[in-house]
Amino acid sequence: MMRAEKVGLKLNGRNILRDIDCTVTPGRVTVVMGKNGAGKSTLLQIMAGQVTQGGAAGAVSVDGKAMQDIPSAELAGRRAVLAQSVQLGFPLPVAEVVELGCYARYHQMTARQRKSAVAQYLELLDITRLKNRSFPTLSGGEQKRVLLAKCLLQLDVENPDHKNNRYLLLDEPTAALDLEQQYRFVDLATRLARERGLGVLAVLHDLNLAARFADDLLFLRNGETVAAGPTTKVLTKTIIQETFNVDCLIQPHPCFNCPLITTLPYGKPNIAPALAP
Amino acid sequence: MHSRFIILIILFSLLAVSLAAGIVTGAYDLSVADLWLALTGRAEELEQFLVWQVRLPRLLMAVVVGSALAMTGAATQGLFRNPLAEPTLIGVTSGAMLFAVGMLVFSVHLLAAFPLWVQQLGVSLASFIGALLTTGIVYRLAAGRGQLNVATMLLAGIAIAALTGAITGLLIYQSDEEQLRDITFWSLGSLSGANWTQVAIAAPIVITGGYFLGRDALALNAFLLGEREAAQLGFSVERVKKRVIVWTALIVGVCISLTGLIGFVGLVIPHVLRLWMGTDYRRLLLYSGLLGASFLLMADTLSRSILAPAELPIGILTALVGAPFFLWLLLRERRKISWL
Amino acid sequence: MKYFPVFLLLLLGLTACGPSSEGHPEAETTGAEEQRIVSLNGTLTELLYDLGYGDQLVGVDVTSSYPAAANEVPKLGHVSQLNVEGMLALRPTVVFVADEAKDKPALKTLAEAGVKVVPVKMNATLDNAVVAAKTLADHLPIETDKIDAYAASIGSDKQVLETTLEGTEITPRVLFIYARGAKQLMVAGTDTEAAAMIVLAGGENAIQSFSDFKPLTPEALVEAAPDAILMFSSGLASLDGKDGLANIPGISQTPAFRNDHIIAMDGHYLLGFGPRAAKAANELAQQIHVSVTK
Repeated sequence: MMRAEKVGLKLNGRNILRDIDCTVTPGRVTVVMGKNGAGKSTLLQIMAGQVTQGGAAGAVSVDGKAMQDIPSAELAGRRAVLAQSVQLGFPLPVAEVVELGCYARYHQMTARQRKSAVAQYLELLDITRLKNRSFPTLSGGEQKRVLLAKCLLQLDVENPDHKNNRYLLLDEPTAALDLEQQYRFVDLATRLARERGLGVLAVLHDLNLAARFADDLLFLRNGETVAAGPTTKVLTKTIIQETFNVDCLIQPHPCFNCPLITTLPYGKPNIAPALAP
Repeated sequence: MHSRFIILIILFSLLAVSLAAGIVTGAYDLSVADLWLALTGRAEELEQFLVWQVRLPRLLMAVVVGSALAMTGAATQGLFRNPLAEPTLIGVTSGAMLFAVGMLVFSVHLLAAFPLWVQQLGVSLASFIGALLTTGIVYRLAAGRGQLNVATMLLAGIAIAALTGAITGLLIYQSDEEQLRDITFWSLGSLSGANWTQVAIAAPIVITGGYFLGRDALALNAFLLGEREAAQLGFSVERVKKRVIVWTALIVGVCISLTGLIGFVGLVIPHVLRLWMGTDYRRLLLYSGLLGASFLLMADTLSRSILAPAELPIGILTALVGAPFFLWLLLRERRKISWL
Repeated sequence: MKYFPVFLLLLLGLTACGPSSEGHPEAETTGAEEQRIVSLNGTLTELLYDLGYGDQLVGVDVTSSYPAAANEVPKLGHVSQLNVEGMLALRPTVVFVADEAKDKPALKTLAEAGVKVVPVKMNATLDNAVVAAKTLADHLPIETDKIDAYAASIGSDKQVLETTLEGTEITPRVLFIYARGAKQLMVAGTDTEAAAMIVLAGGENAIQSFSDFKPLTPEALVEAAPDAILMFSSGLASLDGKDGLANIPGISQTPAFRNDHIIAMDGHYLLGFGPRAAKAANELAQQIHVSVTK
């Protein structure tokens, strides 16, 4: 289990995040939700072990071990972060970006092993055809897939026999993706993660994506916890109201076995909701 | 794999050709047969001297300095994720320039009692110290709370360069005709003073530094995706930055302290290679070293032969040859370039 | 080093024009007496021409522009930026260089290669040429009576200078301005060759408060209050003549400018302290004193 206990961050006297508890369990998907500036990405960065400057409070542990005691090379095999966006300093071909995933084990592998590993993960994400393309020329969805391939390779290469628990942190994976891509990508990422028994922590904006794919939810507002718990328990009207300041309607989803949330920013209109066809 | 092998062969052949051209060419007319005799130690004393004490150390100095400038250029561009980055930006050159000029101007007063060769050694030593000192200052300015802010370092480097530039200008303004000449020649760079002592000083530092930069090639690749990504991939980002900066300062410091400022090699060579074979640092550093060595060898061969028996400062040539070539490459590959 | 003539013969046969050189027997016969001289100082070059060694010069530095024939000799650039191999290729038997430049790295290497590098002490005196010629004579077969004749001619020039100075009563204040365009103006303090020449010509250096060259400031100009301004002809030309000079702040307030006492002389002639130094001093003396008495 990856656990954040009473973590917080103070920057220039302002509380970005305060007293947050967050747990990521192997095989489960935890989604963090909240308005812009609620501290979602900050929490994710803290749990990735990437906030080291002063002003950080609380502790993060990975399977009972304090995160700061884990050498960064080992940590690379325990958790991978899919960044919100990646700006390359200089263009790299897709294959080389994916290969970065096995850098922590670079010297234990032969060039041939690395090459076949890259090929395997390109195949897994169905992007073999992009292999020699320059990363910056890809579309947003393609870039995300490449980065996901890199993250999965990074986690798998460290623990080929899946002995250790591993965690995948997705920082707004749907940013810059179109409607179809948003759904497909979250679906793909959570499915691959579940297959591998990865614990997933994702920052999402879309309530319905969260309702569909999250096992656990954490609602943040102004750096503080509104509610946390299994999706079935915390995905309620009051909590959504409290987090996003919008009214909403929660119905059973007509196609999937999950709720369907309709947000009503101007309150409930005075007409009967149209029935789904 | 195949193309990599071919590129390596091309680069090594280029280096071999440049070396051969460099050793054959010179103001002194020496046939290939005589050259061979001289190399194998069977020629006349003067020719032997010419080949062993004049041409060879100069060629080696060109190899060492050319590869040093190109390698550090590639490394700093990667570290700063900035195509225009070169060692100048971390204060190495500006500091070296200031201290060298200061030494050239004040050595009359400071070291007047010493023979001139001590004064000249003083210029080298001063510029080396200046290089390390300004880099240190720029580094301190950018490193807060245990973390080095690369953007701050860039800006601090520019500010420090402006400051040292101003002081340098002040010194130049105060200098007399003779000193002005020396300063001009120093700032244009030259390998004319090359000898085995210089090679013995520079080569170990450049080779060691090149080796250590090469060990950070993976980290530099990861840096292309940003520092956060590099840290996430398991690299100790702060240590990598410190290592790359320290080695760059050492390598460039020792080179320009011996040869003066030779521009354009560090900037152009890595870009030429990027356009040709991509940015992968596992190869880029080595290739930059090879191409930089060849480029400076050719420039130096030209510099000492086109005006023979006089010589043209090499900095003029590297810019004169490098800049148009680079522009041509840019225009030709304009569509491919997404980082400019 | 003692084998050097042997080398020379071999080299003449071996190199010159690569494969086509079959050896030049006539070069071998004359090589024993002929010197191949490199001069890295304008004054020394002038001296060597004067002493009849002009045709044996194989290389000169960039400051060697007098006599005109020196411009036909291969130029080696500035003494700070010498091409060792280029110099070796000239196969010099002797290299003359001003004493203060003798430690340049290229010359060290040249000496290591067995070339005789002779530093010649240069002083800002009228007799400098004779002293330097004596040093040259240590390394070149210059007959003593030639130097004596030389000394005599300089002596008579000095006589002329003395006569000129005898007729004068005042000591005009002369300011030397070194100009490379309007952006680079320097004035000569004490301890400079310019100041030495001004004193020799019976004047007084207008600036006594500092030594060496310092950038010109309008205030310093006014304070110096020179009776005459002395410049290199090239320097005055770089300012577009006297009109350009007038545009420099402070200049028009000086007595020198108001009385139009701007003197321009050839740089090498004026400050080279070569064989014509006494003549130059005399010329300067006449000009500054004529200016003042006018």
